[in-house]
Amino acid sequence: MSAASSDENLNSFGEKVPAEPAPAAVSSAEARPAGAAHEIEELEPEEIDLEPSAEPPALPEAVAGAAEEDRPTEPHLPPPDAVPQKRLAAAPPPPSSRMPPRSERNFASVARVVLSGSGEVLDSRGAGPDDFAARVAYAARLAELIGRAIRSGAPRALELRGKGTHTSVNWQGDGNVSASLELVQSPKIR
Amino acid sequence: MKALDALGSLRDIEGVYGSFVVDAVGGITLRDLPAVIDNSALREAGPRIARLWGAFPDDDPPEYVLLEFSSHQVFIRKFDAGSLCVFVAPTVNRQALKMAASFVARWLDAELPAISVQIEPSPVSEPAPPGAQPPAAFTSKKTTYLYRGQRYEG
Repeated sequence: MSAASSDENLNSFGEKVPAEPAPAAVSSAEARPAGAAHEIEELEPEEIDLEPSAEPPALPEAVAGAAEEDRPTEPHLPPPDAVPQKRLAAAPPPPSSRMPPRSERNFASVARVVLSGSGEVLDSRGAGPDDFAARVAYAARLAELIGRAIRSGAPRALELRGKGTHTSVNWQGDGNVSASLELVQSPKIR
Repeated sequence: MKALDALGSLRDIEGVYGSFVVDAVGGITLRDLPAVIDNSALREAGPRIARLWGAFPDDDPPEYVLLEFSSHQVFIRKFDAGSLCVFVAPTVNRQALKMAASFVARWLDAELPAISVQIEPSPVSEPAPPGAQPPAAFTSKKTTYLYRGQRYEG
C-alpha cells in the first residue's frame, strides 16, 4: 500500500482514487464572482455622498404626482395637512372622553337624604326623596333594634344591596343619619 | 351535605365567626354560632331581620344587607325561604364572603324545606341589656351545634 503514488488516495473501500488538487490560498475578493466584486466596489462608503444637498433629491414620478395633488389649488389657503391638526389641538374633548374611569362609573347617585334622630328630613336631594327617606328611616331603626338584640351596640353603617340599587346609610356623630341611593350598573365583560 | 356543614363551610372564609338562618318570618332555623350568642337574642333579632327586606324598593329584588358595628359586621343574604346571617370581622374578604354566602343560600333554597330543625334554648339565656357591647363575643373557639334536637359542642 505504500507504493501508491502521492497523487492517489484510497477511499473507504480501498480503491485508488485520484487526489484532488489542494486549494490554493486566494483572497476573498478573488474568490467572489467578478460581478459581485463589482457591486461591492460600487457601495464603498467613501464613494457615497453623505453631505446634505441644497436641493431635495428628485422624487419618483408617482410620488411626485401625489404630492402635487395635495398641494392647495388656492395659494391663500394653508396646506391641507395643517388644518385638521390645528382643529384637533384647539377643540375640547368630546363628552364621552371626559367620562370618569369605568371603576368610578359603577354607581350613579340618584338620591341623598339626611335624617335627624327623630326621623325629620334635614336635607334631601335627587329623585323621590320622601319615599327614600321613609325607607332609610325604617331600615335604620330595624338595624338599631337588631344591634341591640344581638348585643352588638349601635350600628355604624348599613348597606342594602339590591339587583339594581345600592343604599348606603351612615350614622353620624351628631345622631343624624345620612343615606344615599345609587343605581348599580353592572360592569360589562369585554 | 348536612345543614350545619353548609353553614360551617362559611368558616372557610377568614374572619367568619359564625352564622345562623332565619325563615321568612324571622324564626330561627339553623345556627352555627359561639355559645355566647344565645337563642333568645336571635329570636329577638330574627323578625327584624326578616322585615329588613321590606326597606328595598318594590321593583328592586334585594340581594344582601351589611350591618356594620364597632367590632364586627353582620352580613345578611336573602334566599327564597329566609335569610342567612353571618357574623364577620370588619377585615373579612367581602367578595369571597359574598360568593360563599351565595353557595350556601343556593343550598338552603334547595334543601331547607326538607330539613326540620328544632332549636333548643341555648345555655346562656339571660336577657340582653339594651346597648350592651359583646365582650369578645366572637373570639371564642367553642361552638354549639344544634341539629335535629341534639346539641353538640366543639
